[in-house]
Amino acid sequence: MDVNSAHDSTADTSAEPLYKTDDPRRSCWVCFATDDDDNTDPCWVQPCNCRGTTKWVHQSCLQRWVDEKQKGNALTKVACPQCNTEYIIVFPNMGQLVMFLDTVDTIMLKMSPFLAAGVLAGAVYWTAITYGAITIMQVVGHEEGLQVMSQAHTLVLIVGLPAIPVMLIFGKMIRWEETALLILRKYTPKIPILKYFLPSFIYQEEPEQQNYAGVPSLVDTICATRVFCSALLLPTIATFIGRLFYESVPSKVQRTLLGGITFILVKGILRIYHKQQKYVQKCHRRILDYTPENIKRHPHPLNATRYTASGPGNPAPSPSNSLSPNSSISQGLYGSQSSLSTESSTSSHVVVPASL
Amino acid sequence: MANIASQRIKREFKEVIRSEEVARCSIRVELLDDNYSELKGEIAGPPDTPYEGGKFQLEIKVPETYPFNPPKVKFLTKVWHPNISSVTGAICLDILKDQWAAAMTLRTVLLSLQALMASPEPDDPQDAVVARQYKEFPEIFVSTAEHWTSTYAGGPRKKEEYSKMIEKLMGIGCDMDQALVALSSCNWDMNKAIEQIFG
Repeated sequence: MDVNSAHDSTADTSAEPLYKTDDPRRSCWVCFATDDDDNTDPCWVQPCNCRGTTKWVHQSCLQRWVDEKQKGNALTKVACPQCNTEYIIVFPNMGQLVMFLDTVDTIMLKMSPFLAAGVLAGAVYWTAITYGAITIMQVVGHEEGLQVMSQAHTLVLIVGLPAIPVMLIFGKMIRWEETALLILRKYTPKIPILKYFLPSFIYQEEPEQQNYAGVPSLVDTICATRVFCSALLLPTIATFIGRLFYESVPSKVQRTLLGGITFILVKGILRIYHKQQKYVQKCHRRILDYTPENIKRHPHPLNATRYTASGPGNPAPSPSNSLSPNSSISQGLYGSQSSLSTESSTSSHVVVPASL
Repeated sequence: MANIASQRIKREFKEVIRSEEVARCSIRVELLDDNYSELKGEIAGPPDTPYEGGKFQLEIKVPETYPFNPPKVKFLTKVWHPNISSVTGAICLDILKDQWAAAMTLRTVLLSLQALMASPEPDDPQDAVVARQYKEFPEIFVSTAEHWTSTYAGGPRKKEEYSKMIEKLMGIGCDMDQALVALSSCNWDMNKAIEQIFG
């Protein structure tokens, strides 16, 4: 490789006799050393339009400053912080091959994010198409499904198949149980028949609890993975339930549809019931006095370990080693805890819901 | 410390000592350790500002990578200014961050801080409470800054009315700094200040 000395910036400046004579005491604006200070003969540059004290700078000091400004990217342009002149930074010519490799390197660096995104999008698309095809075969039947798909137009397949999982997920986002629950809460106290069948929906919040408007309530947030899983599993479950309960229906598609509707309805009703019970449970929550009998009745895991760690050389047993023989007391305490949790699912140290 | 940093601070130190600002008692720099990594600065409050007559102490920490990175400067003296935190003394000034240039020196930094005191930038605040007061109640800002200058920096303009309010708050159990901060940030509304401290 030939090193072209004409491009070498150090060669440029050292071959310039004019500046050496015109300013007898140069000082570097980075390290502040002057000509008098230097024992060795450093390389000076005058890289911008500046005059006066910021006219001269050591080549090595300026290189360091440029490194600091570029922060690792050797192609960033750097300007003088005083006069805003862009520095002329040149690299020695290392030959055609290096130049070519440089170009390839840059192109690859710029392309790779797009390529990666493309590959990822393609993978997601193919997965969606496969899922759509499997779903159709599941709902219509294996042979019939293949027949339907081979008869359909290519464009319909390309767009329609991936749309199946997308539509399922969007459908799952409709939170109809929420609306139904609100309607039930609103109208149950007014309609006598409903009042009789659904007594827990008559419940009104206690006025003192209503005052805390800013307190976060127990509204469950939409969990992405949960929505994803239940949306994509819906066709399988629908097929299964259809086969189980609607054996008499001749059409396979109708059977699956009926199964799906049954599943969604039953699940929705259970969910509404669960949510309402949780809501009532939360409203009846009480915090107990910290008295000895209450501590005894509702032991906390931390308290339990505190009691068992009474011996000086006996390390506090954690729940994980509660099977070891020397922690029989803690086992007993955990036992009483678990018997308590059968009464209510949210039992903890002092927060105990009243019986429903 | 890297050789280049201490060499340069040594040279700058001489420059500050020789400069005419030191002769006018406008700025001062003092070494705190032998290897030139920690210094104490002092700037006089610029004339015709609420800070006039005050002496403001600064903590200057020189990083290993100086002069390629700016020195870390903060106010040790408490000061009421939109671009200086009234709690920590942290300074919001571009040349102490990304606009730093290696050609700047201790002397130019101290002079820039003086200039910042003379012309605050309320749109790029360090202390939002002070900045809001500066914009909405300029007269209260000036008298508050004067009172802070007299309290902490030895300035001449103490406001009797403010001193009385602070004493009243100290009478009900707060310390002086707490009372001054609360009253200043509540635009000297006694009730609001009490609410801020005890509420």
